[in-house]
Amino acid sequence: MTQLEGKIPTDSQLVERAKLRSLSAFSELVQRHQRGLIRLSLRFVRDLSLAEDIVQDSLIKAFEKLHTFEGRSSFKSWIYQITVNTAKNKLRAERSGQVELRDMDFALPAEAESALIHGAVAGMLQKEIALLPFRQRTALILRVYEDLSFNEIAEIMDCPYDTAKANYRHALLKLKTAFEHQGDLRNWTPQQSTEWTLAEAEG
Amino acid sequence: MSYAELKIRHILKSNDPGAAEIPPEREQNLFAKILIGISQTSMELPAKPRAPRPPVGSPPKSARAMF
Repeated sequence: MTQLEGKIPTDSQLVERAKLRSLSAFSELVQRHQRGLIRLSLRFVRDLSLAEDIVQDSLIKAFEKLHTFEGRSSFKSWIYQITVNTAKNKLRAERSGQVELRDMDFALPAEAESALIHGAVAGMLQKEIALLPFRQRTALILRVYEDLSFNEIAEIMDCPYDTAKANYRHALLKLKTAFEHQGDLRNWTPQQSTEWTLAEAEG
Repeated sequence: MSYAELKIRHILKSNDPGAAEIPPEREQNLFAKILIGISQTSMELPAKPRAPRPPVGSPPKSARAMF
């Protein structure tokens, strides 16, 4: 162990202290994970205010329920699980209420739109993602954007490994089918040099 | 994984909604709101545990006092 590692407490150590109602320990956990959770939530709702609400609710819920966390998974997986469930509930509430998710795609700020590479194809893909069943969408988001293993995805989704993998495969196949009909994908070629290699296929 | 699937993964990764820039002041405000939320939660003290019930069949306190 290096000197630096000795000084910085691990998530598990902070959790143990936070279980004894140490606000400083829990606020350190919040600082470590808040940004990642906002990004995760944005992938579900594509609206910063809504994503912030999800993160706020999730972290307060985590603090309230911390005594139930047994440490069988990492704290990160546990808090991701809470956030995914909170996002699901928010989306359900939004759907039954005033805002349709598909409308939110058009509510993106102009600067975010202009930042999109190959915006048209990407926009269509995002709409298709919004139509996926929630579990397929979750598996896709966690795999593609978070680069998580299927073991970690299964922990977060609280399901067997094979189910997590199947949800991801179904999501990808639905997107593929949708775009094979359109021809956009066939004409699309990567513009940038990226890490995009055949190695990804094995992942 | 097919070539089309690789393309989809690549398009998604290069257009990640989660990669949008988050203004630092928004992050700070959120952090403050969460701290307020957990402070309020921690102030709600757990309910005081009830005194253990006397064993079944034992006389009431007042009766015991008589002997």
